[in-house]
Amino acid sequence: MVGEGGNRDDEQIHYQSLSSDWSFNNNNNSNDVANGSSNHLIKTSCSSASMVDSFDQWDHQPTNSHNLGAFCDMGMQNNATTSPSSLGFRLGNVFVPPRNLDMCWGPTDTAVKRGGMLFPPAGSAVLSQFPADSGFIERAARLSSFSGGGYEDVINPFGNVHESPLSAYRNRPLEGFLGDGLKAASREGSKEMPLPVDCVTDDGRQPKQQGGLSLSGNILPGEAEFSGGGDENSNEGLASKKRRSDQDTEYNQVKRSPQTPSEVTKNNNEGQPRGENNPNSVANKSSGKHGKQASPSSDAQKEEYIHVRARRGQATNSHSLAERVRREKISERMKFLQDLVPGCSKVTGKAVMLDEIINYVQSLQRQVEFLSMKLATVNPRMDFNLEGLMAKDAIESRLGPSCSLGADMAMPYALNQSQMAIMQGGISRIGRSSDADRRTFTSHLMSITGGFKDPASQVPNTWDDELHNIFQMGLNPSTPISNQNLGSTPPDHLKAEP
Amino acid sequence: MSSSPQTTSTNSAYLTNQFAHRFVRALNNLNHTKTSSHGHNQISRRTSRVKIAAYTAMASVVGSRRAWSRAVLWKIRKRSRIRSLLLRMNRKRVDHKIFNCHHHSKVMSLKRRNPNPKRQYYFNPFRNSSQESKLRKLVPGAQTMDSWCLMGETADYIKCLAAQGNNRKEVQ
Repeated sequence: MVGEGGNRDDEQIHYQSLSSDWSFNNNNNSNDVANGSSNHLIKTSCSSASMVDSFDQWDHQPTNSHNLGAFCDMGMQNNATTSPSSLGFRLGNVFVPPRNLDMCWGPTDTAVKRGGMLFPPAGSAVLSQFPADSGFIERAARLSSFSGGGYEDVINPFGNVHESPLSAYRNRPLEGFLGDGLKAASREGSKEMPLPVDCVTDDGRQPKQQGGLSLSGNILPGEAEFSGGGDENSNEGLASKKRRSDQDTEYNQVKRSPQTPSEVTKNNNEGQPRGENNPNSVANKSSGKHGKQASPSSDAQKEEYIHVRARRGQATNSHSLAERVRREKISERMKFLQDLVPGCSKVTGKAVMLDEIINYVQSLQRQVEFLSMKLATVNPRMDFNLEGLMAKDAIESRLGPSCSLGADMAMPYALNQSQMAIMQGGISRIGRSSDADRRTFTSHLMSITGGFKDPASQVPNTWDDELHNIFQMGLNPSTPISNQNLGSTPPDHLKAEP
Repeated sequence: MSSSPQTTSTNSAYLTNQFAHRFVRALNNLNHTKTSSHGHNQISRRTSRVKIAAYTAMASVVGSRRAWSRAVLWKIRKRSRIRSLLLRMNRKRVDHKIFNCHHHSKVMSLKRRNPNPKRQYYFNPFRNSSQESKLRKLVPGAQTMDSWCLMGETADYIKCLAAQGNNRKEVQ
C-alpha cells in the first residue's frame, strides 16, 4: 500500500490515457472555439520571442522525477501536436508539485515553443520576463494565480464565486483515486496533468474552450475523463474558475506554490455541472492541506492534486477539508478491512471496528504460533513429510479454493484420531469452511501416513491428470510426478536446496 | 480500493501456492540444519524456527511491495546475521572479554540506519489512539506510518496471515 516501483507504471499508463483524452478533447475544442481568443493567445505567445526565451529557462528546471518528466513530455507532445488549443496543457505543466513534480518542466519547453503559455512554477521571476503584451500579461497574471499565491491582486476581479455546488468531478475523481487505494495513478494523474485549462481560463468566459481539457491538469484520472467528456461544462466553468481563484489563493498562500493547481482544479470543478456535489473538491482542498503537512507521508504524495470541494454547510478551511478527505479515505479502508475480518459486517463505528481488527490480528498471529508448534511437535520425520508436502502442496495449490477432490480421496484413508481432533479444534476455532476441512484431512493424511506412499502417489497422479488442464497455477508440473520417485531423488533434491 | 476484493480472490490462490512452496522449502532448510530430539528445549526451538519459516515465507511471497513484509524480512535477516556472527565468534573461541567487545562492535556495525525514521507528525483522525498504537505493535513495520497507510498495511497483513493460516492447516 502505501511506495512501490510498480506504481510508476500505473501512473504512466494513467497519464498516457489522460493525455490521450486531452488530445482528443483538444481536437474537439479546437473545432469548437470560434472566437479564437485562445488562438489570439497563442499568436501573441508565438510572436513573442522573449516568451520563448523565458520559457527556455524553464527547460532547465530540475526534473526530479524522470518518469513524470517523460510523461509530461509525451502528454505534452501529444497534445501539442493536436492543436494550438493545447496551450492549456502546456500551461498546466507549469505547476510544480510540491516535491518532485518538477519533471514536467522539461517537456514544457517544447510545448511552450509552440506558443503555449508557461508559467513559472513558483515565484514571479519568470513572469516578469514576459513580453509586454498587455493582454498576455493580464492572462499570465490570471494564470499565475494558479502557480503561486502572489498574484492575488490580478485575480481579484474574479474573486466572487467562492463555493459553488460541486461539480461532477467530485464523485468520479474521488472514486478514481480512492478506488485505486490512492495509488500513484491518481497521484500521477493529478500531478502530471498540467493544468491545461488554466491558461485557457484567462481568456475569460469563453464558453467553449479547450480549457475543459486543461482543467484536467491536476485532475485525477476520473476527472480527466470527465473533463474530456464535459468540455462544455468545463468551458462554462471557466469563468467561475477565475472567480474562485482568489479564494483559492487564500488557501494557497499558506501552502506551497504547488498547491495552486488545486485552485485551478477547483475552478475547473466549478465549471462542471453545478448541481452535483463532487467529493473531488474535497480532495482538492486536501491536496493543499497535505502538501503542507506530513510531507513525507505517502498519503500526501498521492493526494497532492486531488481536488476537493467543501461541502455545503461545512467549514471551508483547508485544514478541515483535508481532514475530511483523510477521514473518508480511512473510513473507506476500514470498510475494506471489515470485509477482510470475518464477522465484522454488523459492527459499526471506528472504535469497535478497530478492536475487532486488533483481536483478529492477534488471533491470526496466535494461530500461526499454534500451528508452528504443532508442526514442530508432530513431525519428527520432517524430511519425508516434506516430500509428501511438496507434492501435496503442488496439488493443493492446483486445486485452488474450489476443488473438493480431497474429499473423495480422504475417505479411504485412516486418520489419526488425536491429530484429527486437534485439527478439528483448530479448524473450528478459525471457522474453516468444509472444503478447507476436507483438504486439511487429505493433507493431514498424506503427512502422517508416510507408509502410504503408493496411494499418496496415486492421488497426485489422478489429480494431476485432471487438474493439469484445469489449473495452470504456474506450478512445476513435474512436481507431482516427482512424487513417484520419492524414494531416491526427493530427499537428495531437497537436501541440495540451499 | 474497489478492485481489492477481486484482487484478493485472485491473489489468495497465488499467495497460498507461493507460500506453500516457500514454507516447505524453509522447513526443509530448518530440518536439515538441526537434529531432531524431543526435548522440551528442542521443541520450543523448533517451534520458533517453524514460525520464523512461516513468516519468512509469507513475507517473501509479498516481497517488498508492502512495508510489513519488508519489516519482517529485515528483522529476520538482522536476527540471522547476528546469530551467524555469534556463531562465528563462538567457533573462533575468542577471549571472553574480547568477544564481548567484538560482539558489540560488530553488532553496531550490523545495525542499520532505521529505514523508517520515526515521523513526529502525522494526522490522526482517530480520537482513541490506544487502538492505533496497539495495531502498530501488532503489524510489523507499522510504527512510523500514518493512519491511512496503517490501515492498508493491516489489510494486507490480515490477508496474508489468513492465507498463511489456511496453508498451514493444509500443510499439517
